[in-house]
Amino acid sequence: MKLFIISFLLLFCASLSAENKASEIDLLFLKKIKPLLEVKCWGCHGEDPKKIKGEYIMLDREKMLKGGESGKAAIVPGDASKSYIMSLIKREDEDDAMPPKEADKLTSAQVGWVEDWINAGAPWPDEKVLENDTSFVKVDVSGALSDDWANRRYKIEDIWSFLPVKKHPVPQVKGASHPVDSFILEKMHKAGLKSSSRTTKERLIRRAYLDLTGLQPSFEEIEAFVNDKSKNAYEKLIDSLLASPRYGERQARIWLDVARYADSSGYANDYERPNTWRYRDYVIRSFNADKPYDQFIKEQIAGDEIDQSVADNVIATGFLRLPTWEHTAMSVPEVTRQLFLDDVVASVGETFLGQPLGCAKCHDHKFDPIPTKDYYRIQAVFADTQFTEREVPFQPYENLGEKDLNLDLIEEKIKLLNEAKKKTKDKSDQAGPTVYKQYRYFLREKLRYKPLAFAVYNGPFRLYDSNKADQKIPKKLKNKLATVSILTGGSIESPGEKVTPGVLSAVHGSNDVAKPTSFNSIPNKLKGKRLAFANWVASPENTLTARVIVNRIWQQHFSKGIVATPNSFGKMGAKPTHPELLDFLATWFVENGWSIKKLHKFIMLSQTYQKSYEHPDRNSLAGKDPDNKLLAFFPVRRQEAEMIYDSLLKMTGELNLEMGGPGIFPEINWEVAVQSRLVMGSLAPVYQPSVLKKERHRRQIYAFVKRSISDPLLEVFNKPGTELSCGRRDETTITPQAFSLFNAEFMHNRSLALAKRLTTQTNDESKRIKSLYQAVYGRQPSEKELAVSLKHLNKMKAYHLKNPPVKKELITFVDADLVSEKNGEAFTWRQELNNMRRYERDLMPWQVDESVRALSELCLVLFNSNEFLYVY
Amino acid sequence: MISRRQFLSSTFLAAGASTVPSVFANPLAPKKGHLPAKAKRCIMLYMAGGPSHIDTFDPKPALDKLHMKEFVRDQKFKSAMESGKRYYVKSPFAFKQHGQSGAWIAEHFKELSKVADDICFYRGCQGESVNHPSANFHMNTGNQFIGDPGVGAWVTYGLGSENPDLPGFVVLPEINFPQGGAANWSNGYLPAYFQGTPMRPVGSPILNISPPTKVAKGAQGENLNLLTQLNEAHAAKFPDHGDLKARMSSYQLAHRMQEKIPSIVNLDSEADHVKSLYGIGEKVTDGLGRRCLLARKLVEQGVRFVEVFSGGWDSHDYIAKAHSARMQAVDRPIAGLLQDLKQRGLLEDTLVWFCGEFGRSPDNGIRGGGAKVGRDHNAHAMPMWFAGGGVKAGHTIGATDEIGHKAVDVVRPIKDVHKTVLHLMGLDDNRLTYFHGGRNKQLSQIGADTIKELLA
Repeated sequence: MKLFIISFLLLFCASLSAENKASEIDLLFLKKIKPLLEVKCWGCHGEDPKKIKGEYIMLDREKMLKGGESGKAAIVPGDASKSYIMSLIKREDEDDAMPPKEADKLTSAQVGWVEDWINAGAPWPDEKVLENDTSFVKVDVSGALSDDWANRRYKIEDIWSFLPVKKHPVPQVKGASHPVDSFILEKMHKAGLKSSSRTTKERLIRRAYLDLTGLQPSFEEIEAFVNDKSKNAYEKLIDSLLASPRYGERQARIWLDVARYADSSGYANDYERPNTWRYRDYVIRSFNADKPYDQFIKEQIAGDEIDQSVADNVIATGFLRLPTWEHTAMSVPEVTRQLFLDDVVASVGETFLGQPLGCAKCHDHKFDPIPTKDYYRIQAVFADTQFTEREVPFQPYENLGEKDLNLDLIEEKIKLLNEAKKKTKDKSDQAGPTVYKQYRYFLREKLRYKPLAFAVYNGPFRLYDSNKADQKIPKKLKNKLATVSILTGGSIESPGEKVTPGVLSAVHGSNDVAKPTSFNSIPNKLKGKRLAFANWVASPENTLTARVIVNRIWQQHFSKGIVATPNSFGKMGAKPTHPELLDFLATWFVENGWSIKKLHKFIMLSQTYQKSYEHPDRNSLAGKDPDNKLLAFFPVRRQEAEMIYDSLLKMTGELNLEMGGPGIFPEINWEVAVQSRLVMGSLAPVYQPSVLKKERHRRQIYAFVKRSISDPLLEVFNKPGTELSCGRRDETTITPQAFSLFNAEFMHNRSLALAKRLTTQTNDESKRIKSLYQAVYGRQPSEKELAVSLKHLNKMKAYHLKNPPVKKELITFVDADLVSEKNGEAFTWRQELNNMRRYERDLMPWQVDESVRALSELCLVLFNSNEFLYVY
Repeated sequence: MISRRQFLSSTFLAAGASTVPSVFANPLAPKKGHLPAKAKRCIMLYMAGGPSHIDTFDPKPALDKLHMKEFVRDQKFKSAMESGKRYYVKSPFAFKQHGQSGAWIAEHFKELSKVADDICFYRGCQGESVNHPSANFHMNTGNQFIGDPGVGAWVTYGLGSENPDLPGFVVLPEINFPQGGAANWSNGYLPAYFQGTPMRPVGSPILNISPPTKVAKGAQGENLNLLTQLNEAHAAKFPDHGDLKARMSSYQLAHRMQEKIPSIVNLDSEADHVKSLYGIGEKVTDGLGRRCLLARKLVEQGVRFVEVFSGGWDSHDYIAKAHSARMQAVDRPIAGLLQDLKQRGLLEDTLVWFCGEFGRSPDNGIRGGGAKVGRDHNAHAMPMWFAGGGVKAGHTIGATDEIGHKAVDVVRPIKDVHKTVLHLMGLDDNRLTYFHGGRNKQLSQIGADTIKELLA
């Protein structure tokens, strides 16, 4: 990798000048007061003449002193006590305070600066006097909406992510043999913190399994590891987990959170996207194959431009279309097109660059060196990108699941619909739209099995109608480029200066306007823009890309990244806790061929990863590092929603490890499933779970993601929505989690399945209980636990003997009461759940005796317990 | 982050506040607002589909003369719906003035016209989108794009809630969810505690609140005891792990709620005359009547924000039939709610806010030879009114043009309405902020102005 040894100062600063040495008060103004005005005041009292509030302009000294509509002198040079502005910023009257937003209020230090500045005569020196100051730098970018913004100076620590990655030497620390440990221990020692000791093998394997596969280890897997006394037992474990196909499934979950993956489009119709599953499988394959990350990036942004004869290259571009999107008769084409362009810039920015670029859509970025011009230059990269479903033959490694069965079921639904249509013929005005609409949904379902890829092509604007999901590339494509302009205030009605494709010019070496290079230049032609942009993103020279991904991987292992805001590496994001380590890892990663698997292993082999949760001196931590930023101990976490779900299926022996294919439909909360949902002009079809158990019992990653439906069981455990990119999941404790784990049918069904499995193994109740503890906790029960469990089991047996289960029938139809938009009259629409005709049910309470039912209560209790939920 | 996501979820109380250290303080504990205010709670009546202002509270006699004459639109960007040949459409309904204030109300609001003086009608609001879900998101969350917190989430974030055993923000949807679904009452980027909790009109009031069978329910007490034992033993091993206590007490709270909520939702205990006030028991009004009565019960119990949905207003065709049916379906329940709140002395500190996602156009394309005449979407004007605490009751504020195409007086964007609603609840939009995505976000997105004309 190329190293950057030239000081950034030479590149970022204007030429040095020895004249105009700045006085102290000049520096106060330029370094503190002016940036403050810019961030806190100019939004309403500067930049945009249309937005001036209170007739007060603060752009130059004269206007700023004069004041606004109140008529009071805002600033009396030399006397802060007589300056009206002071009472406003001190917020003496909260209804007449500035800035208006309380969260933006000035700190007492900031108020102090303003006071000092006014008392010193409120001078307004030129920026030039700063030119020989090294702690502030100017960043040259492609352009700016105002000169003031263009001349802005940044504190170096605020623009760290735009500066070159440095290869830091590993600090020499006693007792550290792994570079990660050296960096971590160095900071801990400086803070006077002790480290916790090594954790147990039992806990280590659980951590490793959940981190790398998203599944709990079985008791047998734990035993084998604990009993493997070889020196490299742990390393072998990591290797085997990384080699497991389960690894790609786990890794894909994290990626799809960031990429906003779903199998439907959201908005009014929430239409199915019948072929996005191929993108999901592509992601899983890529992680399992340890595809170099730079290649992974390029394929997703520009796979079709690299080589469209390679199936995965085309499938990968589905990434660009993942966010919610819809165009209907109610939509304005210019608006929905802009929606795509805004979303694609946001996706690329957050996913690969850790930059929420949307902040620069309407104005030059308030805090970071990102001009609005760059926002639209990046938009220009995608300006000729159009939607299509391309024919891409199914590959030998792709799976179509239970294709025949499911196509058959879809045909059945269409048949039922036609019958319903006949019945309602006399009232066709009411049911007509529903029949018509539902037919459209079912046609899409059939497309799941057609060899189409949810993809893009380059060409002039073509209105893509959301009602169809198989739109080919037009035969004749004009070689005409779209015009892209800066939209003033972000409004499509106010196009301003025209722009050509470009990159984020603040990134070191990326200002093509100042100095075009092969690294930073994007050709302005129909084909090749995206690839050139992707090459810039995926270059070792890009200061953001490698840092962003190594931070995501670090977060996966330690719950929090070195930068705690994984999608936001700007001034307003969190600062890196260990910047040298972050750069070391980024360098290491690129030098090791952008291999994510190698990076996992490297991190996991550190002592830092193998630390215990328990710490010898918690009291000292409470004062010195209450948030455990320095990692004196290993942070505890709660299992994620899908980990809970998948691990339960693994324990019961029901988990089907089949990979890939169109989304399957697990049993979700039945009330959610049959909940009527209005769509444009009609009613959406009812959610029907897949017919076969083996389909339903696949990992959650293969579940169909319908944006307008989610299972409360997963949602309450912070499974994120798909509308916004989620770089890090929340971990909240809320009451409905208790409802879900205690009451959801899924939990009761798993309890029964596990109980059945345990009772078939042995007749000895103590042995059953032991096996249960092994299955859920991966350990033997204590004597006391065994005793209370046995007691509970007996009580429950007596209870269940007295209270036999009542057979519950499946729901076979749903009647929806609708108000016809046609005539305002009420009518009922019956939807039959035809899948139920052939439905293979999970094991039900009435199919087993009271001893199994009693044991299932014990299973349920353990599934609810904290020992199962938390990972230490 | 999420969501925007369907159904239930979050909620109420993180784990109970009393048994755990202060770090787990109840995030929904009542908080003081920023400003003095009369309204302590809010009931939002959301007419999904786009109710027509021209056919409800804003009569346009000029349309009578123009009826079926050609209408020409002059706008730069058009949707397919707005294109093609278009004609003026008169209102099929008779209007009369009511109350001391002389408010104009269409004939089918027989009950509502009796409480006209309790209402402040507002004709100046303008939206931006004529697309149902985008417009729903805009009115409900302040942002046309999916993903932001609902108004109720913001209010609950600002004021907390009075009843620790109930969610602070409850949504009473119809059986069919509105377009855009649960994203309309999402917590967005606010913590999960502030998400709207739908209480469902049929089935479990809250999803998963009960075990799948009665038999399973009978075993629950014993199971909970054993769970407590196991969790206590586990907690003793990890004394520094605070979340354990929070999770343990959440089970106790869940158990209490499971017992309590079904009885709150049950309307049987209400007197017959109260039920009939809301039109309960009559086919047309029963559904919304029940939701309105439940709304009253919930605010009475200390719930901070209740949003009630009533859909079916999207009358592109047959406006006469379709809109008259809708008006009759909501008239008694809504008027009953206002009367009931008033009788109980609750109206003075409850804000009632009636709105939809947009209004309807004075014109229509012609389908079916003119017999099916209706109205299309219109974001330039819409029906909206307020009643209760701090509102300038008995007034009509703002005006639309002669044909009802656009608001022309006291014209204000949705964000100003949001700012005003917060203001009426004692919250200052500029102070009610949450840090997310690199900046302090707020309901109005970038700041707004209070509509002073609406304040008492």
